[in-house]
Amino acid sequence: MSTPGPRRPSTSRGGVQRPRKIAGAPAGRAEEKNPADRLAKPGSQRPDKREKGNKGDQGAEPDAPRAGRDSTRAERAAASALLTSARTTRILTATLGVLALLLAGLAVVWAVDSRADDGPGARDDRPVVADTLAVQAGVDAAAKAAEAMSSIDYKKYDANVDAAAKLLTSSFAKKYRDTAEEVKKEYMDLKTVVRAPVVAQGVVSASSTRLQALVFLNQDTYRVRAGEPERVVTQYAMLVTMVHTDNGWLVSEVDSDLKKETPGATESTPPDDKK
Amino acid sequence: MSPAPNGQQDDEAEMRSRVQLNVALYAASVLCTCLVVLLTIVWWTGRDDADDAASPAAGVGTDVGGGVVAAVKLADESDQKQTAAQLKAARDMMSAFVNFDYEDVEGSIEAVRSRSTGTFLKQYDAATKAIKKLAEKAEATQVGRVLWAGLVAGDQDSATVIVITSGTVANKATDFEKRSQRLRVQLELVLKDGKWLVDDLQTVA
Repeated sequence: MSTPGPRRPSTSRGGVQRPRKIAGAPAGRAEEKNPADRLAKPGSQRPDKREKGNKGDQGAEPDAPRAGRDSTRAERAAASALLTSARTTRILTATLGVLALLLAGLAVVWAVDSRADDGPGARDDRPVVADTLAVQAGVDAAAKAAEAMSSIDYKKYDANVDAAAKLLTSSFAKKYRDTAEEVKKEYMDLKTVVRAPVVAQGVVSASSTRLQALVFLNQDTYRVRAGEPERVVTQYAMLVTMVHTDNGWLVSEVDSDLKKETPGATESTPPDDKK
Repeated sequence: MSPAPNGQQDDEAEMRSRVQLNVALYAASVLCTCLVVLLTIVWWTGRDDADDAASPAAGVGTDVGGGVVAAVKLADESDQKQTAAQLKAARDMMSAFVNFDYEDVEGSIEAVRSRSTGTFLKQYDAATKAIKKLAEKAEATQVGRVLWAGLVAGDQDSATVIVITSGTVANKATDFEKRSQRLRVQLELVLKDGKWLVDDLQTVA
């Protein structure tokens, strides 16, 4: 079912015959009242423009500039028609509704995703949520790994590094091996032997898949510098992050109190003999 | 020229309000679109990171090399709350212990006393007089914070917690220059009248 004649403006939906009420105007009158609507209608009568065109001074203008101005006026009028259109309101409202739904969906997906990633997580008000036995195993593994990573004998350098790397995730093992390679020459040159027994260990936080263990180590370093034997003892704390796998707990990250700045302090902490 | 009929004025007013409404809706739509795009990018980037085995946040089922991430059993809610309370008590105590101001000796001492009991309270009370005298004479100020606290063992009425603190101390002897001070401490806590209090405090050598 179609209406012959000029195409209806954007205020009408295709095939709908009944004139629509626009901006509160009585149905059937709105299109007549709004000059912008008339301008937006290709092929429709535009008496206001004709009047302007018939004025003496404007009639003398060259055709091209006048056509340009007409075109600009037509564009402005079209934009105005779009802004006053009830259809625009409906389209924008629908768009906003869809976007709001999308935002809500994203929020839900985000929340579900973050929960699924780490399972029931440790929070500030509940730092340890994992079962006691699992936590104990994780802390023991962290202490063992901390000692293995820190205790290196230059005579068994590669074997010590390999043994420690087996207790780490692959990505952290790579970092550990890279660091070990960087300091290897110094270890060899100074005939360095480091022992770092654990003196205390405890759980800082534990979720269903992750655990942070606090480990206190007393690192004893023996080396020969300029032909003279040297011994340095460093007491420090290590924060070991563990991840639980089907092969037990593995180290995924470590931090140390020696890396932490003391704001305002003028005297540094004892020398760090860690690799 | 005759004045515009009331109907026409109403139409123009309503047209203006329609324009305002459409402009507002358009602006809101643009804003929402930007938000959707931004959140999608952030979420997607985070997802990529989490899927990466190198990420510390890799989820269950992710191969981290040496094993596939698997979840452990969870503790009872009461145990979770108990551990949280024990750790918090230890942190609060050490925070009070490493923050001392000779200009508020009484306040500094009371902050420690109120978290103490048993053996430690007796020892601290016995030393209080000397602490006051020394602090005022040396004009000592100590500022610090707890880096980490870890539960060694705990049950319903007692717990052992280790704590590492980092801070500075300044007094006449240091020419009031702040000197770095780190403490490795082990605390014994007991539950008394529903409150976790420190029964013993030892530095870990």
